[in-house]
Amino acid sequence: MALLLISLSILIISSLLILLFCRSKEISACVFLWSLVAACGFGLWSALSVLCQKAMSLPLTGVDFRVHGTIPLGEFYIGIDALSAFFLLLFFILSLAAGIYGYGYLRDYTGQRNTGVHFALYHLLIIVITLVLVAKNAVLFLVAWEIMTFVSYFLITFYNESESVRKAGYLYLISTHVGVFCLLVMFLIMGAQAGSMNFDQMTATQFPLALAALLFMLAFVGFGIKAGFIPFHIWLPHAHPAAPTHISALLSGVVVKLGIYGLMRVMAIVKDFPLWCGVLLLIMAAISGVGGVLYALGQHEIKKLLAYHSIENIGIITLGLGIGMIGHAYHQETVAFIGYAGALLHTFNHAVFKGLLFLSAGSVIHCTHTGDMDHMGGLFKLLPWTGHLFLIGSLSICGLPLFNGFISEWLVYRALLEGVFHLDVFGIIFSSLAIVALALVGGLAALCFTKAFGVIFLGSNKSSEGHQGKEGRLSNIDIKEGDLMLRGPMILLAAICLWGGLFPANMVYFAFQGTQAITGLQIPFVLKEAVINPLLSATRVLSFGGVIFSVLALVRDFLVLHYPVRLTETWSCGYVKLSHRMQYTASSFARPILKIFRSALVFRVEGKISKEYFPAWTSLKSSVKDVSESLLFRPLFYVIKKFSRKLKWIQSGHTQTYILYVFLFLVILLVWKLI
Amino acid sequence: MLKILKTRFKQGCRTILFPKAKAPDLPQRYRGRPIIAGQNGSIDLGKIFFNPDSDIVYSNDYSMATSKREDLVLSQEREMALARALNERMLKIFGRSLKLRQVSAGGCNACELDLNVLNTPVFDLSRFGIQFVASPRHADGIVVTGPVSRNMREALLKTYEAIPEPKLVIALGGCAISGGIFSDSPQASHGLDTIIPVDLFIPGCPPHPLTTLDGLLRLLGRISS
Repeated sequence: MALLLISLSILIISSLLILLFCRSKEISACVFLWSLVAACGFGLWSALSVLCQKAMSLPLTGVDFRVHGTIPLGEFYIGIDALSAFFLLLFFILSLAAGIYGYGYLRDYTGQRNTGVHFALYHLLIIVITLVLVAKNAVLFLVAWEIMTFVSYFLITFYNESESVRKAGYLYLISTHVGVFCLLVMFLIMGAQAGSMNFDQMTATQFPLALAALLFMLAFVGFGIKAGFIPFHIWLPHAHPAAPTHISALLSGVVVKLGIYGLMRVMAIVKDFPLWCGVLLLIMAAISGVGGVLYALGQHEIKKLLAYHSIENIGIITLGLGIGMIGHAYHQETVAFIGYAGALLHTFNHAVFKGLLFLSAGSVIHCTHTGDMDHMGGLFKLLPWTGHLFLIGSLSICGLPLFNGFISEWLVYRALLEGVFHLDVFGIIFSSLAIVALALVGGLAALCFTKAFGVIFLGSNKSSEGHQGKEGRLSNIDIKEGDLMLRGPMILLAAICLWGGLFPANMVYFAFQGTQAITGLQIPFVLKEAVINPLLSATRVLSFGGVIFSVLALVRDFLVLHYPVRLTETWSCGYVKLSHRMQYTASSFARPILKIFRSALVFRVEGKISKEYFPAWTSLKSSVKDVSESLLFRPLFYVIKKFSRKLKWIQSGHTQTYILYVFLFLVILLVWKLI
Repeated sequence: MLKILKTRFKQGCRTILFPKAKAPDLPQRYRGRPIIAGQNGSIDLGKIFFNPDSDIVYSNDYSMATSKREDLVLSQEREMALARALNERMLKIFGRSLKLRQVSAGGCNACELDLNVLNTPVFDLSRFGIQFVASPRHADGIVVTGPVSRNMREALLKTYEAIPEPKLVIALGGCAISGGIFSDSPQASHGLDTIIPVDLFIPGCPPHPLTTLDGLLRLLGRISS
């Protein structure tokens, strides 16, 4: 706890220092960098020290920090339990990586904006997110949550000279505010039931089942908006591309995960929910997972694609949570433990590999000055570091063996299979359907990242013709690898991806620690062994295969060394006017699979394919329309707008009218008091 | 399918025994290698069209393919030098498996048609390990037919470029060898060997399948004179 307080105070002092020195770019950036490293180091230390405790001490009284009687109902009461510690771990890792990257990214920034203020806000965001994660008082939690929303709004709208960025920022602000309304009601009900706004008392309170269901619905909407469940996800694909890269990474890796943290915290407090809550969560998770990856397939913009993948991965996490809740409702603790552990571990893994993917996508955008994948291509040779790191991120997100995504998806699968074995008919049906959904998500994600990696890094550069005449390619001087400040954080994250995939025991153990904090029960040692051992042996065999594969690759490289290499152009059946644009694009690669699912999503191809022998000028454009945005929210917003326009006369803009309102209000209050 | 199998069974093996045995006798009408004796001057096999109206007297001999362009010119002074086998290294690579890509560079389809005959059961080209493939990326060499018109020139060069090293080039028919009846036209080139190095010249208009097969087998060292 002391370590965390040190880290927080470092952040507070340094953010003030940054604001003080924000006139000088160099000093503020330097203060930012070193304070970030120090604070994240202390934070990680404190999180790890809690997670590494051998036995679980249920009420962690020794490590709380409390300031009494600060605001009515609320007090400054923070403490780290294993669940908080697990999220703190992923949060500090990612904020360290994203922060250093942001330092490198904004160093060359020559625009109008003051980067010092941006850095100070970044520190403030770290402070409030830490507070959200360690708050043990509902009022403190809500206050920190609100400040977090505002701070991240300012961080997202860094490039606020563009209209679309401002709009995305507003959308984010409004959607999350709707969520906060639900959370406020939820915590008030909880507090009224428990007689205190502290989480400890709430945990000790028994909630009736009907009330628990109501609380669940409120939490589901409130936290679901933050987490980006379909259909509440509409802010997500707009905010991610709008934000600067390191903020997108933090947004997708941590801010979205806070929705998951909130749900887990509510589960830890309320504990017993009716069965249908778990089923609802499972269904929504499957929809989010499949929907997220299908929408991702239809995207041309790299950051938007990654944003939709966040929705997909939230779906996978929630599948684990849902099966955990179902298992809990059936009193099958094995299912619950593995489900929760899978959800937690995937939360961590997703934060790491999605952070890696966003940062490497940011490097690509930094070099090519466009986010449109159809203008990229052939970057693997020009950006070997970024290419390989993006590849590692892609392999992890697809859940392929030897990378960390595999481990957590294995756990979720395992929980669902346990569900098939231990539950009754109803449970079996839902678990097996969830397995099908998870398998579909995995396959489509692999397809989607084949597309993303192939279109961005392989082939030859598609934009070269448009920019620099017929023969000109993007010159090597134009595109060059970023320096260590950009590369270092990505290498760190990639190393964690590999470490989590090759040596999974530690992270699975940490996830089990977090699970104990959610359920409040001790996990039997036998169960831990039963889950970890098969994982370890599978990893061992797979890494042996990986070693053989790499040896074969090296042997091949060695043998080829003696032969001369001849470079010729791509075989085009003798076609003379071969151009760089005659390649697979993001749209054409995804088209066959999107056609299969066209009834499920609004997939559109504009323009027509010419069937003549000598086709004249033609253009094709494919797009995927977000169903919940265009069919649900847009009409809803339209109705609201129309309705509120009718009330506009109240707000006339004349000062006299407003004084009249105040006068009338006072009169009403007086009359009220008299009666 | 059963019907086909039945017919095949009924017809038996139709493949000729060439080169192990002598090739079947060709009909009297067949115009093979010209008889140079008793004629004045020389005859360029790459330029004549083997038409019956000319003064040239033709024999029944089908072996005419050569390794060099100048060997196609028959004269009274010397014996005709037929195609020689490839060197040892090339034979090691191509001797038992040769994949070819056909490029019709402005051809009239006569050569292509008679090249196709080699794939029929009678000649059964694939028993020698020689096959035609769809892409130059899979090929060891190209068979060029036609006078290489200006429009096909670049496509031909691209195909040649696309074949992995080492590669063979075979010029099939009078048009490919010398431009043939188009040799006066500015739209055609005057011989494939002026564009890319050629390893085998097979004259004829079009060459008889036996001529082509004989040339290919000589190139691969299966027939020695």
